[in-house]
Amino acid sequence: MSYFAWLEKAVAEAIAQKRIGSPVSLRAFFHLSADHGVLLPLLGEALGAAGVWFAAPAVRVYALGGARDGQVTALVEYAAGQTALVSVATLHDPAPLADLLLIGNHGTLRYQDQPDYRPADRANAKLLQAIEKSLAGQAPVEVAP
Amino acid sequence: MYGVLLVSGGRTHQENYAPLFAADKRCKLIGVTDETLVPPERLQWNQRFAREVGIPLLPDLDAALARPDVQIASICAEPERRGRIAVRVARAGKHIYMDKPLAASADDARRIVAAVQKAGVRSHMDTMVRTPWAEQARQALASGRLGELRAIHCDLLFAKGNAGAAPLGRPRREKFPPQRFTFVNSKRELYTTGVYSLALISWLTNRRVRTVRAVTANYFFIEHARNDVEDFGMIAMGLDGGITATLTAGRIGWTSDPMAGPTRILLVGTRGSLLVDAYRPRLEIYSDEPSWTPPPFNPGDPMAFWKSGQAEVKTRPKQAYVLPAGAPAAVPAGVPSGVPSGPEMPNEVGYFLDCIDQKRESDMSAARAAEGIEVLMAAYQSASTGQVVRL
Repeated sequence: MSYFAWLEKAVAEAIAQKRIGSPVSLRAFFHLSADHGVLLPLLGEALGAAGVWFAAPAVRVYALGGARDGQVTALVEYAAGQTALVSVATLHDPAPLADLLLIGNHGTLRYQDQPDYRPADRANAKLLQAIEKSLAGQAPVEVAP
Repeated sequence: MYGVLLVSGGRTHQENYAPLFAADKRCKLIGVTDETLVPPERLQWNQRFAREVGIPLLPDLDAALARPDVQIASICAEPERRGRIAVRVARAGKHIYMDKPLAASADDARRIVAAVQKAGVRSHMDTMVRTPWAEQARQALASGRLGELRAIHCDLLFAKGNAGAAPLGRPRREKFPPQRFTFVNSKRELYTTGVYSLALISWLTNRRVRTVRAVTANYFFIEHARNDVEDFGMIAMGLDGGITATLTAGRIGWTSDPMAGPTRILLVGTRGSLLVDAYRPRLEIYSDEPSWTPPPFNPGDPMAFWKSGQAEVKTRPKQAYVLPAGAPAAVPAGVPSGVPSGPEMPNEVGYFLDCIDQKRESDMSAARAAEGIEVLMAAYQSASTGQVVRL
């Protein structure tokens, strides 16, 4: 199981226990690889996982930065009003960073890790396309249903 | 000796600033004043505060400003009144210590800046830039060890209020321009909390914001939803030089955090990154002491905005984290009094008095604070249209 597949499942199980109420917003940082080519797929994976946690599809993406710049951030709105602000950056320091703050209407779920990340081809194609289009156009982009 | 006039009293951040002015040997509190036609509740809070501090209530703002023994005005009136009051203070030739945010509109902010510049007085807006953790971030950037700054991310979320009653399931429909910012039981949280991070971003980067994309939401409180003000917001910005800046801001409920709420800055450079957390380094203590519980509901201050409101319901301090003395980070000023103060509480009042003494501009002057207001207004515009606003 890939790192994000595992993380997605672990957080989804915690959400199902209703300890934070309904998840409403995600703030996350991932600095996991020195490879610039991994950044957008990584962001796509993270935002896809957020959609699973919110049980809602992404409807609008606004992305800033760029893979060549070594950092990309996406502000994403989901269908039922949830939001995500997820940033990925290339890894320079010895220790990787995975930092997740999932905010529910009754509490928060925190996750911090320094994983040995191996990219997996799991990013949602529509989300990835929206991220690339937003970066190119420097504007919010509707995500295809 | 500086005579300090307090504009608005109780149930404002004057409860935090007045003691700092009073404790400084360079200052003497002259009185509490306000506009003559304030609502009766505001007048009562001003009267009560004047009594508690032991200074007179000076009911006419202009008469109070005309006093020769007044050199500084600490302005904590509601945001909607700050613009016109600050202009009158500057025209009277008095230095301005301003509660955050500076004003309720970009036009008001510009008017304050123009009046301050014309009068040649000093101005300062209270922020968190004097906190040890902000200084830690500044030093990391100045050292060059992160390389060239590419992104800065700030989180400031207040763990206060009884969350969980806001209706969920649909996006908030933001309106622009925002009309009212504060109520007894709610505030526009992107405005009132996000301003801290905007000030930090400006102070740390010295870059202007050029693009703004924001969302606002109602996730937690029925009070905010009923007053049609957001309890949560996010902003993604492009700064000069292609730097990305983001922030999250809001009020997320008493039990959402072991302390006052997530308070941190992530700096991303071309050679490295640094996560600065206001609560690190820390000792964490888990024991058989009674667990922390939220205070009883206080109808007069249900979101625990004010020191006095928290004192009324005997809000207990959260004690899970202990910040060791001398540590580089400490709890910022302005966080609820229900959390322990770090050993190195910043004193922005002292800094401002130093600026006046040394005849130099504050690094959080009205001019810089006005930039933040411009960004906040762009954020509300973006949240209402779903589009990027270019400045």
